[in-house]
Amino acid sequence: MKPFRLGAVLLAATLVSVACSTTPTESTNKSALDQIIERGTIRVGVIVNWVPLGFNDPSGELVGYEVDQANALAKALGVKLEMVPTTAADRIPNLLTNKIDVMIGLFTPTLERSKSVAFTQPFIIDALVVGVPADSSIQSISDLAGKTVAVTKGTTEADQILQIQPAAKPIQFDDTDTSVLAVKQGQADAVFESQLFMMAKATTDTGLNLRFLSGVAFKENEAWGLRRGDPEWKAYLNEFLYLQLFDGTNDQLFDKWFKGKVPFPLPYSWY
Amino acid sequence: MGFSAVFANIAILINGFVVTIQLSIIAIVLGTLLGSLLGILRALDFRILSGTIRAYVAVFRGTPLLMQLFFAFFGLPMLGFDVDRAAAAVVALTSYSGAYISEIVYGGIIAVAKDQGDAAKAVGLSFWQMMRFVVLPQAMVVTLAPLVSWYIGVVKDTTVASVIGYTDLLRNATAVVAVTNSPFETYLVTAGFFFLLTVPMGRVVAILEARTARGWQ
Amino acid sequence: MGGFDWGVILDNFQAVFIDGALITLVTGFGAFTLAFCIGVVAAIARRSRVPILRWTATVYVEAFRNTPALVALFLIYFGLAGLGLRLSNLAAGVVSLGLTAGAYMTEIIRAGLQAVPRSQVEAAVALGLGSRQLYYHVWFPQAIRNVYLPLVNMWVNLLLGTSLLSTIGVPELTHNALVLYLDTFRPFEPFIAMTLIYLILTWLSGRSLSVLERRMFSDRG
Repeated sequence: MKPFRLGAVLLAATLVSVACSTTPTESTNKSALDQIIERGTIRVGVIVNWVPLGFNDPSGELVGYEVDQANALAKALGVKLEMVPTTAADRIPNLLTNKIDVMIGLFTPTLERSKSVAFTQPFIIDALVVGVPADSSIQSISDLAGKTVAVTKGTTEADQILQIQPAAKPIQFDDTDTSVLAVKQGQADAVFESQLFMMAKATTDTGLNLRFLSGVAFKENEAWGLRRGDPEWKAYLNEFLYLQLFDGTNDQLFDKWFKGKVPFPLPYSWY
Repeated sequence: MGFSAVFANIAILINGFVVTIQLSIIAIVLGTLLGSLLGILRALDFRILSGTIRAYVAVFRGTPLLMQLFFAFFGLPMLGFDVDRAAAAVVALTSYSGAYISEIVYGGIIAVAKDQGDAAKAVGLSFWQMMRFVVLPQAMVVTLAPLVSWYIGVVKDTTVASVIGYTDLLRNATAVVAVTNSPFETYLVTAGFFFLLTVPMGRVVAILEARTARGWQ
Repeated sequence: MGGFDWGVILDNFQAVFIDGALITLVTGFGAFTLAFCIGVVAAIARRSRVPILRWTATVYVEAFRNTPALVALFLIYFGLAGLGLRLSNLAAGVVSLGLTAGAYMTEIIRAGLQAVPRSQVEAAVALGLGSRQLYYHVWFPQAIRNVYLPLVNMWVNLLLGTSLLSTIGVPELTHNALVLYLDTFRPFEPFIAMTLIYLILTWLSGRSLSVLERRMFSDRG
């Protein structure tokens, strides 16, 4: 057994020293804004498999509300757009390891997340809603006690569900489509998801047939995410979003993809 | 609803199928290279090297592939490597396959070397000549059936890549389910796609096994 | 990045890792038992003279050997629910793993049965043992002994295969470690802990099963 043990120790030692010696690529002191313009490309994190934020159309091309926003941003900067498909789980890691310059889409600013990454001003208000099958007996949050609730790993819903109803039983799935499928088929009693997502799902999925518990809408700000310590990039993005809201472009885009008006107005007049 | 809805979306499934095939081929080729290297190195019987290889094999056979994939996808970027989903899947499948293939290759070499080693020495061949002309060719023959058998496993194992969102057949199938609302039919068709790959490979294995049993001439 | 924060692991150790390991063991054991039972039945069916039995068993084995475990899992959890048969994620996981592994078990047990020397069977018949006693006292113990190592490998495979259940939300070890990573954004601590626990589980399995083998099979003449 001796050579085996020695070999095992050597292997472990190599791995540990590699892990300790390399560090994630550190951002240079230059603002991302300058880096992007210099490079001529902007790398934008886009959520995939989330109709209609970002999804593959029948021809396989990535389209959606976010994609249009990304294109507009790249055009404003005068650079090429490189879209990096991202899931809820790797939004922050992608920012931290400098794989993307900005995470667009509906990224909820929370205090916990703000320790790792920075956020723009919110540009849209989303709500977290509980969806149940139309014929379910669940009427309110207290009815959720002891019931199974489908949530998606790595989202604020996954964090929040037990705070909202400590006696609920969350089942964490890998993506939103699966969570919704679970409640459609009765494997979970309810699903806890973004209202905007459910709104959009209702337009494409005629078999949805879910009822949403009233009075359970927990409003959430949605913003774009970027790396910390870059005030110039943040200022640029804020300006971009401000103008999108100011001249009605955001409303147009929203209507194009969500087939309706923005559900909640921003609670302060930022524009 | 039902099969017609699935076939209406067949293009998406086919795209995923192509990706699965590509991933399988890359994992098979790289895994075989790695595994053969490790297996041969281990057969050389240098104590520390063999020990390290055995430790490597023990770790990759003693932990789930899905876990190894998470390590590759979430861990490697933190170490500074720029891995996207495809790269993470390739890394995980290669290192996993490499461990198993090294066992197959090593076993093949040992089995042959036992029989042939003394005979070769008696005839006067040097160690390297013996390896090159006697042991390795025969070992390759002996390992062929288990190798192809393992390759079938690799094709099926590529499905774990869907868990990290890589657009392989299974991930595309899940997206199709969201549209068709027919999970049973969709996943059944998905299984059918895999049959297209695994069943012929299974025939190949059966032929190889029959030949090995009969003895190659 | 040199500083690992092991406090995160220790704080959550029981809930994440111990509970996760327990679920892993329980589901693995459930799946193994199911796979073994299916394997025995199907192995006998494959050797049977009744064509319909042989055919059914062969179709089962071919179907599940050619289907990836994850696809089978989704078929059983989501697919069957779409047809009206709803299983909890734990039940679906155990059933799916059991069915998938059962196909391999069938072949293993069949090989084991085939390798029992005729002489043993003939001797037992000569001693007057009936058919059922024949199976119980002669066929099976010898068959199992023949294929003990493949069976142990199957157990380890199933134990590791439970990680796939994380995709349908079963709180086994991989699922828990992943969620811990998503909460803290530190991949190494949870994943290294998970690695160590899996290695311990597989190592312990290997050791205890060797001991068991010696106990069960060494008192043979």
